[in-house]
Amino acid sequence: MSNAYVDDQTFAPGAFAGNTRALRWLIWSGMVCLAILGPAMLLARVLPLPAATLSAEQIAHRWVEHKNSIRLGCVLMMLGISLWATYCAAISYWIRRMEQGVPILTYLSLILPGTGTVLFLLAPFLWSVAAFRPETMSPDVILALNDAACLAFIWLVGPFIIQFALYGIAILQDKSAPNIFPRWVGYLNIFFSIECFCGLTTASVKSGPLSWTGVISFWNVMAVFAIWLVTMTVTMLRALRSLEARQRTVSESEPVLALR
Amino acid sequence: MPSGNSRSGVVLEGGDGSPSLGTHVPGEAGLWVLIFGEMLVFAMLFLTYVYYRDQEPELFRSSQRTLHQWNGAMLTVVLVTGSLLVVMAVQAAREGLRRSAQRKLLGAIVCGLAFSALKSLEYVDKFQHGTTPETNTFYMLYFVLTGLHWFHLILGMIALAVLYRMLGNSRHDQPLAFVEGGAAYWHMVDLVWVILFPLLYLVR
Repeated sequence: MSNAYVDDQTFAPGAFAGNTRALRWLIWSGMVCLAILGPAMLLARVLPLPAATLSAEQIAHRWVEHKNSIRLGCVLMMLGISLWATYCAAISYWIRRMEQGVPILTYLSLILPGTGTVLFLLAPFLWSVAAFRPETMSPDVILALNDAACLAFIWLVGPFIIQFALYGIAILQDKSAPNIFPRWVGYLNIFFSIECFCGLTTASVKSGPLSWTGVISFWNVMAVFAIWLVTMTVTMLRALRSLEARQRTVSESEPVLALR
Repeated sequence: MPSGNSRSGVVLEGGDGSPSLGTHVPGEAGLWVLIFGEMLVFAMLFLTYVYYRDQEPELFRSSQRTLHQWNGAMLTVVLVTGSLLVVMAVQAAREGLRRSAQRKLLGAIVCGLAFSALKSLEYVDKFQHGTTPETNTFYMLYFVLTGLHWFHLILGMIALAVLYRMLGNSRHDQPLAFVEGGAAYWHMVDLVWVILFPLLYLVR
């Protein structure tokens, strides 16, 4: 009943065909984001992140030596990260379909990726600033900029914790039959939400597994992120296919509705 | 909305797809993604601890001596008691004794609160002696591991409180899967402590 508004929009024949195509693009934008981000970070010499144990001179040397590839890598990172917003918009669409009553989870799911994108963008921005005039900049300033960029990348997890938790809640609360997402995907989101806390140690630890080059705080979180992204993409594409199948059934069995 | 009904009819044709396995999965199958995921992360953290201890065995030995083993033992007893109460609550819920299950859940929550109180005292004691995560690697790991465990315990208490409310609501006719799920999460937190306690307090 409370989903009637959404259904009316979705099942309007003309708009629907266009909408799913746009939605399909948005769903794929997550994989595009990942495909750009990996090579871009390698190009910018920040995968793995520059170790916190490096001296100011070592960091400065790296920025002077590779400033052009760092600049190009940061541009690509910035463009790739911007796709985070488009991908999360696709998730918001499904949250709106799943949520009944006051669409508060939907509102949250729209706000938080906006915040998250900005926080994510801080990293390439700060690395870019460091690559602007590294020859004349004091090595200490480059070091500080790199520290800030690394922490922005891995420590600023607050909005992400809430975002993945709300995805989990929305999926587990889904009362549609069959469920739009499998329930274990809901639990995966809650797990990822808790997992994000692993990034918090990077602000106080400089080496080993809990630092921003560490197995737990960096590689583990990145691996779960990749698993999460692939899982969400596959399940959203599957949900989209069944939605389209239903749309075809509805328009065949109810020509009046299809004409409206 | 005359067309709305037939539409939802189409929706329902998908079937419920509930698995009919011969074995019983406590809670629901999907929940174990979360539980095994958490256990995997804690396992990695334990290996991290072992890794750091290998680097500075002397420092770890001398720092461990400053921990109060009896306090750790008390924390363990409190948690295991909580787990026992949760087991009894699940049993009561299976027999349909909602009030009794609620009382036992409340007992488990009290155990969680007692753990929190004891843990706070331990932290305060450490801070008063000037010991912080900055002191050395051992104390960094001590605060990270016990803090993360405590955070999970709080999540577990929230889960038990939700179950308590659910059991009180008679309109909720199928709370058993939820009770089992919440209980499984609680036991996971307990299991983590049962490994954490000897690792931090006892193993030298």
